[in-house]
This record gives sequence, C-alpha cells and structure tokens, in this order.
Amino acid sequence: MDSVLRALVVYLFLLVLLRVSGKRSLAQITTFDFVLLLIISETADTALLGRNNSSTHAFLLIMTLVITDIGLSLLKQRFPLVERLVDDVSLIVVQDGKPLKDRMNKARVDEDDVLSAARELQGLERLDQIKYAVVERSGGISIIPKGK
Amino acid sequence: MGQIGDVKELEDPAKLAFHQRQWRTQRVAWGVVTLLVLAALLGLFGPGVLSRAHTASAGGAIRAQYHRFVRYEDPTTLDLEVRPSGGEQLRLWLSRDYVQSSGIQQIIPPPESVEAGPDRYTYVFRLENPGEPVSISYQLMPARMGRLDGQIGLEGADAIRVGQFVYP
Repeated sequence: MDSVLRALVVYLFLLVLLRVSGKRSLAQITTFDFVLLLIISETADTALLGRNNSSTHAFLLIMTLVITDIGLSLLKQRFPLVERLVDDVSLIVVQDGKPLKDRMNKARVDEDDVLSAARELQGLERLDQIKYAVVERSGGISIIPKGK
Repeated sequence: MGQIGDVKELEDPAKLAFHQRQWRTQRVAWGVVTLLVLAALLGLFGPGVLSRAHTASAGGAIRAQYHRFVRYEDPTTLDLEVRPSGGEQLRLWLSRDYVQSSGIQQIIPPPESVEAGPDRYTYVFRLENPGEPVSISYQLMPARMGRLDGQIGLEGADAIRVGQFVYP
C-alpha cells in the first residue's frame, strides 16, 4: 500500500506544482533549466524510493506511475476540461507581426524568445515576418511565417 | 488529445478566459509556495526557529531540547540535561509509546542497562561524579508519522512531556 500511495502522492504533487509553475518554467529554455529538471527528477526519486531498495517496491512504483498516467490520459480524452487543466492550452503571443504584450507578460515570454524561435525554426529575422507565434502546451514557441 | 484545427481557434473566448483564470491561479499558487518555503526556512517543517523547543520539569531536575517538527525517518536529536539527586546511578525513564515511535538509534553516553516495564523503559547510567549535572543525547529517527507525545522522567522525581509532529 505504501508504495502505491507514495507513487500517487509524488505524481500528483509534481503534476500540480509543474502546472502552477507555468508552462515556460521548465521548457528547457536554457542549460540551467535542463539541469534544474535533472535535480528535480533526482529529488523526486528519493521521495519515491525512501529507504526501501526492494525490487517489489520499485516495480509497484513504476506500475502505479504508468497506470496513473494511462488513467489520466483516458480522462483527458473523455473530458476536454481535464485536458485543459492538465495540459494547458496553446496561446497566440504574436499576431500579424504585432506582439501581444499583455499575453506575453503573463506567459513570461518576451520578444527575444519569439525571435529566437523564429530564427531557429523558420530562419526569420524580424517580428514583422511572423504571422503567428504560439506558446505551445509544452512551453515551446512555434512560429508561422507570413505568406503561409 | 484535442486537435487544433486552425491556429485562429486559439482565439476562442473560452480558451482566452481559461488563460486568464489560469494566470490568476498561478499567481496565487506562487504566493502559497513562497509562503511554504518561508515557513520551511523558519522551521515549520523541520529544524528552525519555530521548531526549537525547550522544556524543563517543575523542580528543574530534567531539561530537554528538541525539535517540535521533525520528519519521518529523518535523524533528529533529543538533548537532555539531568541533575541527579545523588547516588552513582541515574535512572531515567521514557514512556513506552515514545520509545517505540521515536526510533532511538543511539544514546550518548550509552546506558549501562535498559529495563523494560509495562509502560516505560528505564535507562540506567553510571555516574562518574554523583550529583553533577549530566548531558544525555538521544539520536532519533522517527518511525511513525503524525503526533508523537512522550514523557521523560527521573525515577522517583519529576517528569517532563515532549510533543513532536512527524511529517511524512
């Protein structure tokens, strides 16, 4: 019972914390974000395993995490609201070359982030070449250039 | 999972309203997490100013220093200062529940013997200088979550109560 409860608590805790931290928080924007993600995973590992090194405990943890994730994905498929709550909704932050400042501030995205994505993904140079810049559910920015 | 037919669908007022609610919730959550971190710094979830506790028996024969807030299977210390009334032996007892739940790992100095009674364990220490105050340290590793109440006393003299909360 302890193994299953531990897995459920850690799963829910991480889900809620990462969700409220915002989608840009750990979108692996920088090397430090990536390192932070590794540290968090290592810390969660300790919380999951505790001082119990038995294989049974590890198997139960893995099974609980996998089945919880499957259960949640089924719920998301059935109930759009659950999907929104868990996965968030994509957000347009640049429209026809114009940055939507309020949204960008709230989503913690700035013009440099958008231009960086525009250069990397589409080879664009300026904001006015962008039709839409969208902060995706993953936290990444996708770019749709003008003329498409 | 829900496919987006057209990027313009993202401008759906329901979706934009969801973003607004989400941003408000996130700001509140950041405040709550910040408060929890500050509370942790102060010792609400483990060692810290709020966690430090001192207690002494009415006659002053036993003084204890410990942490009110401890964590499951996380080492902590119960420091006692005992003023024995005389004799070469010091007989210190701890309530049985507390001994069983606090997970005693080590006692410094080690007792000469331990006697198990129905509701308490008595630790017998040999005193080098009878009558002089003695410091005894119990290294604990709480073995049960939740409220932990215990009584500690000198045989035939006064006792103290210690109360701790063990976080999961």
